[in-house]
Amino acid sequence: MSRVELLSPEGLRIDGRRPAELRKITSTTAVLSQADGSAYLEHGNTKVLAAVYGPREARHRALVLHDRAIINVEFNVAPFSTGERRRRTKNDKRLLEMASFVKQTFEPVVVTTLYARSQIDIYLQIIQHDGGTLQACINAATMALIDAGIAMTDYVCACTAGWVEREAAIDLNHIEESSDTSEVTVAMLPKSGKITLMQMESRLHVDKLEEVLSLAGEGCKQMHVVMDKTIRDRAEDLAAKMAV
Amino acid sequence: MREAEPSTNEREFVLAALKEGARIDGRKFYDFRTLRLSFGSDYGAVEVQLGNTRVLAKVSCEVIRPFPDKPTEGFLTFNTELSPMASSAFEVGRQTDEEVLVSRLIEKAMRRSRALDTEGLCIVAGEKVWSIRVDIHFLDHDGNLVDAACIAAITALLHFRRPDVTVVGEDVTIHTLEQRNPVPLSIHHIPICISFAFFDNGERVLVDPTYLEEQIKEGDMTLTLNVHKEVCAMSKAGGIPMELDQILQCTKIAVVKVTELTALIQEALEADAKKRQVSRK
Amino acid sequence: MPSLISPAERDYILKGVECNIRADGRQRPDYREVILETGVVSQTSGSARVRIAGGTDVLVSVKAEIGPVQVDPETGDGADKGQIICSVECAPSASQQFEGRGADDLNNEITQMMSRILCNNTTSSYTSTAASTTGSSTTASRQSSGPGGINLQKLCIIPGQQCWILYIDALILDYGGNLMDAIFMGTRAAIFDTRIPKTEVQDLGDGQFEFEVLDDAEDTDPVEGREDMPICITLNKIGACHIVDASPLEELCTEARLVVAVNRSGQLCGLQKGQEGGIEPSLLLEMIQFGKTMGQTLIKQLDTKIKAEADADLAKRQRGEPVHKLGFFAQ
Repeated sequence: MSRVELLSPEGLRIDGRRPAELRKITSTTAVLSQADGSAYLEHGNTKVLAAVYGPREARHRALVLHDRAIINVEFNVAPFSTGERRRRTKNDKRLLEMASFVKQTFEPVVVTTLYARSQIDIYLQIIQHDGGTLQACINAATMALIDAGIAMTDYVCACTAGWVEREAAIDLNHIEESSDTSEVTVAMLPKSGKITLMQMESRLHVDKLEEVLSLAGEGCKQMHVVMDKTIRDRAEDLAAKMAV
Repeated sequence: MREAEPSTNEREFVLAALKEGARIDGRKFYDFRTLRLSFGSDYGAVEVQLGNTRVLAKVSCEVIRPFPDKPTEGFLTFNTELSPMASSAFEVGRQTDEEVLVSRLIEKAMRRSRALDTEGLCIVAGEKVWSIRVDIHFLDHDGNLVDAACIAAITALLHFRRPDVTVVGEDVTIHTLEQRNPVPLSIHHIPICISFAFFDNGERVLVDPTYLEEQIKEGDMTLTLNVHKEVCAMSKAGGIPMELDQILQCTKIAVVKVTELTALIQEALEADAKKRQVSRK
Repeated sequence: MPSLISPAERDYILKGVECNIRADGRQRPDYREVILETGVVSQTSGSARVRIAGGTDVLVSVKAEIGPVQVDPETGDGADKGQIICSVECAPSASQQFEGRGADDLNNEITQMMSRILCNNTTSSYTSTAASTTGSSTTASRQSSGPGGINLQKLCIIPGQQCWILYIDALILDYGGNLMDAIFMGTRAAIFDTRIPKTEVQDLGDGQFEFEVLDDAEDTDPVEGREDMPICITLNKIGACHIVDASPLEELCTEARLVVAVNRSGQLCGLQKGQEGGIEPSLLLEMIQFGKTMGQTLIKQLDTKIKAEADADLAKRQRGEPVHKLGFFAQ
């Protein structure tokens, strides 16, 4: 594999962005008719659809908790989402792990004590995969939960960051991910600035960690601004329709 | 089967003790339990005892064909199965959430960080490579399975000796243990996992939680580092949200712990090597 | 998908259908509004998204990949043909019942139906024999084009060795009734949108061939025979009458369901009856005839729209303007 130059001498990345620049993000909510809440997020070329059903009666009586709701997350990757067509089985460990992460990320944020003995389902569908799927899924899930009207203490905004050659950069795309760069996915609550999810799989020196993490925090704040705008626009839209 | 939750009395006792700065088993917040490593008679069999948590790791190897698109890379596979022997909460055949997380953490720590040199496992490019398989069995669950499993896995890999191979043109001879001394695997660095548990709104941070502490914890985090101060993997999923400074504080603690544990592992390996030399004489 | 329907609702729908007024105000042969867009997924050879007002949302993608030729051991057929492999998946976001393994049955049923109609599937089954007895059909699998109309021989690169395999993947994102029609419309649009790269075959002599895929984005072939691809019309029998394009509640009231696959020349390409009720022979013929006429009209309308979109896109590209796909942002 030829060595691709990820960071040009001018400081531009492989797709022309600066290191601290996010990709183009577009999103919309309420795209599905059957789900209680849904959101579609396009993060560069990564396209994710999130659907939320709930709170509703739990499917498995044995898992019901008497004082809070259980959150169930399921991941589905379309076979045409990656460059090569590949069918992922539902029990792929990687997908199960990601689902488990999303579930654990939202458990402290959703006010589950309001919905005792019920189940909240979050279904994530990955339509196109170009790096940063976990962050896109968490962001889409947040918006879908808000669209469903489920009580949450704060937004959950996620962003990836990594060390690309000489500098820390945020929002890595697929090419940067597959080469040997270290990548951290961070999910943050913007109001308090606290971190709910932190995931890293590759090697990074401890001294560089602080810089990468604080840059990821900045990225999350930018994400929050974008997501908030979409939600508020939609809410204004609905309010205008109801006023008529 | 759902595991029994600790009673309110136990929960309050543990939390009250933590507020006063004491842990149930008398350790300080950042102390690991006593680590005992015992090696089997075969190369590559290690049993780790971390307090009451016991994990057994066994390494085996065989020669197979490599993937056509990666002709010079060997295979390294980890097999973890949480059996009901360790805890009644685990069931045979069903993959619980915890099992997925544990096995993925071990894979990330070992495989993704490139601790073992897979290119060095090549015998004949495109035809024969070594496939190393690490089986991890959990014998007793008293908290902190991940750390114990990681230590067991890396120690077993360091301890393991594969048969020596000579390649003369097209001819490949795999020497048995009697003919030639077996060869150790080439391991680049030693990744160690350190798990933290958070209590009291993130104010109290514990290292190496016991089973009881794990059930009561508000949040947790696992950091994998090596002696060269490189973070190989990091995993904090859910639980109580933490500030960035608290996380960086944990990394500093982890660096210290990793140096201690690596020294312990090296000592144990050397002691075992001496024992084997003596017995051979 | 609501899995329960009360007797009152059922009665309401039944009576309504008899009087030619359906629950949402349509008449029996009326179709809901369909929104169609091609080229929504960029990493595929062709893709399309179909939305039926009222909820059904289907995403179909076609990926062309190179693979070994599949030769049928009994007939020796297939050495000079490409392959089409279909797969359908219901996302759990579509409905409560599709969580976990709940969607498996539906997936299998629809995949089988697609394979029978589109691929050169020679397995004989009850339904294909029914098709061959009901009038002119093109289920003869010995033709160079499969019953799906697509010219499989053109998909072959090196006879006996390599061919193009078209993977048609349908993803059902939202359920609002009438899945089969949406999937087939999407498949037709996606195949229209598909571009297969050209290949250059070099004869090294001695039966050895080498081929190279030309990587030119502009110089690609469309799929041969795509105009003859069939679409299907689902007719639901409620009471003594039949309706087209059922909503979920109406689907729960149907006694028998007939899926009629027809191509643009009016030939019947496939027929499948579902549900437990029975259909009288006279009504059956009427339904098939109706399905055929409706299918042909629908194909004409689809083709004009798809062509208009493709022309507009081409004009935009020639002018140098970027082509924006609305995708999910279309309201």
